[in-house]
Amino acid sequence: METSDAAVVRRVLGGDVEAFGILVERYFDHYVRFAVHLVGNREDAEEVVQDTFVRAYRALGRYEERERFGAWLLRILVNRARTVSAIGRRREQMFPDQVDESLPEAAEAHPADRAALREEVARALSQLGPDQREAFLLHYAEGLSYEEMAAITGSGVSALKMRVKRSCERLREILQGVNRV
Amino acid sequence: MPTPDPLAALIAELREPVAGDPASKRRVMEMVRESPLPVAGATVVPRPVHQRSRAFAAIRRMRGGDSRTSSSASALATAAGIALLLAVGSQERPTASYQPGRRTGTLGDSVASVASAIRDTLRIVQFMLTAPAASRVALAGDFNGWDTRGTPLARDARDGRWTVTLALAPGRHRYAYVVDDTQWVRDPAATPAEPNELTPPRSVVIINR
Repeated sequence: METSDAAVVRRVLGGDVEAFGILVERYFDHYVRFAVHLVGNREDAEEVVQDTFVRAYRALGRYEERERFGAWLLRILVNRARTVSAIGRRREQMFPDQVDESLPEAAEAHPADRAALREEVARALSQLGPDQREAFLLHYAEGLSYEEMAAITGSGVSALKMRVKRSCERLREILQGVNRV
Repeated sequence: MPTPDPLAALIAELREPVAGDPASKRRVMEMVRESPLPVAGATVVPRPVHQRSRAFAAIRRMRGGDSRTSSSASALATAAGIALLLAVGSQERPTASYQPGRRTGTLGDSVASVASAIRDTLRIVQFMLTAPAASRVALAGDFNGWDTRGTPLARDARDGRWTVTLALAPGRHRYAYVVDDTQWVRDPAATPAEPNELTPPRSVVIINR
């Protein structure tokens, strides 16, 4: 029988540091996937998720069991990703020639190819504003309700609905534009 | 025949599993092992009243006239904040230090009752902001993932002071107060963090070992 997240947290708080590894195994890959789409490249994503887990461990005493552990972790991750993205944007402004190295041209010549699809997705997401991308991914990649998203992002439900709606419209435009090429 | 929604393929791709780097996971656990053991309910660790009053007296002596105000804080009229540090250790003599100014003082009182609950690598830090017009004040910092809700301050109705006490690891921590859920306020009595950064306003507290 799988141990619940709350039970694992209690073990860690009781001094069993290695039990934290259970939570790492349980959530790391899933949140790397989310972070890759959110920050736009694998290297930053791994770093954000690493940092998220370490911060979560250090703040574990403040975790309250009434909140789902995964959602609590995601809140930390979203905040870290915002910081990393903000740094990335400043870097892009300072070094514009270095932009987009992690986002190669979508391979229109092989639209059925899996790698091409992945690149196309990354490229499309990179054209959304950070707030829209975050809302879109929380809703569609993580499958969160707007109420859960509001608790994680600190934004209102109506604002989040608007961001998701606009991001869908924008993505359709981008994807249809690519497919017409 | 209806045209397939291009978003459907994108969303399906978003949900495809991704394998994290095993080295990253190992690194997480290495850093976890190097970190102090987290303490359940560390934010509500009580301190005896007489120690608190002594601590405030010590801080007032150390502060002198070295207070700063930010534009955000000035809107709050009498906003003023301090971060109070009490060293906690089962062997060492507890001390209080205050940044900025890197002035330190000695409290003298034993806090062994708190030390028994907290590893000697943690420090009790009290954050305080005077904001009588505020309805809510929270503390956001790199120690809580810049969570704007998770660390609320409690208000003292008599003087409009908001306080929260945390157990933090030694090191450099950046933080800010979030007033009424929207207004980021730098601690007017602490060192500003990254003064060239436009937003949000942040302060730094350095906790000595």
